[in-house]
Amino acid sequence: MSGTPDAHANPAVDPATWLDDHGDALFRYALLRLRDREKAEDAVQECLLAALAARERFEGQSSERTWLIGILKRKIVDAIRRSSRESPVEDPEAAQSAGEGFFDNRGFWRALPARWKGDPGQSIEDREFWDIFRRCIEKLPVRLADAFLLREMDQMKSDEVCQVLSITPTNLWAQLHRARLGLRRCLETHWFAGRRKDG
Amino acid sequence: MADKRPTFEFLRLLFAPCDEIAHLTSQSLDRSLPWHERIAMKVHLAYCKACRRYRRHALVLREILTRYAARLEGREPAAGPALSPAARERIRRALINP
Repeated sequence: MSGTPDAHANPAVDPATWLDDHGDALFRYALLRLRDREKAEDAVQECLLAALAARERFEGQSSERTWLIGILKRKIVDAIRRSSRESPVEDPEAAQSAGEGFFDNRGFWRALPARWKGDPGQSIEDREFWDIFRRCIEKLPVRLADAFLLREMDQMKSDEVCQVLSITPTNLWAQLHRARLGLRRCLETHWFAGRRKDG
Repeated sequence: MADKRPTFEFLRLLFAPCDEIAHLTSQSLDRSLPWHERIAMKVHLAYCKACRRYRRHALVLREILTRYAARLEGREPAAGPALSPAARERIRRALINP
C-alpha cells in the first residue's frame, strides 16, 4: 500500500456494513451449494472473516459484493476438491448407465418431458421457486449436484470441473446428464407443470 | 465409441434411441460435438418432441442459474431465504471479535 489511508484508497470497503449489505446474498449462494443451513451460516461467517483479514488486498475494481462472493466461491470449491480427493468416485460404466431409470429398456423416455408453462425464466423472481429448486438439488447425489452447480452456476469449464472433482470428462458428462434429467423431472413435477396455471 | 469411423457412427446414431440422443444433447452443452454426433442429434431432435423438450429444459436450467448467480453477485435483488436473526447476530459478534 502506498501510504494512502485505507479508507481513502478503498472507500467501498466497510466491514461494518458487509453483513447488512451482502449477508443474505452470501447465505443464498452458500445454502444452494452446501445444502444445509448451519453449514451455510458457517460458510458466510468464514467468508466474512477471511475478507476482513484480506481487506487491504481488495482492489476496488470489482464491487464489494463480487469480491465477497468470489471468496465464498473459492472456499466452497476448495472444500469440494478436498472431499473429491479423499474419496474419488470414478465409475467406468457411468456413461452407459447415465440415463438409467429415465428410459425403458428400448431406450425410450419412460415419462415424456412436459411442456413448461408460462415463462420459465420468470421463476427466478420467485422465492418459492428457489425453495423447490433447493429441495430438488438436495434429492440429487451430492457429487452430481456439485458437478452440475460448478458447471451451471459458477460457469466453470468442463475440464476445470473435472480437475476439481478428480474425474474424467466422460464421467463428468454422464454426471451432468444425470443431474439434468433428475433436476428437470423434479422441477417439472413440483413447479413447471403443476402449480403454474398462467401458461 | 471414439475409435469407430465417423461415417458408420453417424449412420448408427441416425437410428439411435432417445436415451443415447438425450445424452448427446446434454453433452452438447458441455463440449463441442464432432460433426457426426451433432448432425445425428439435430436429425433426431427434428422429429422427437421429447428430446427437444429435454434440450430446452436443460437450457432453461442453465439460463436460470446463470442469471441467478449474476444477481447474487450484483446489485439487483435475488429471491431466496434470509439469514436468521440468530445467525446474523452470531456472525456480527464474530466480526467484531475476530
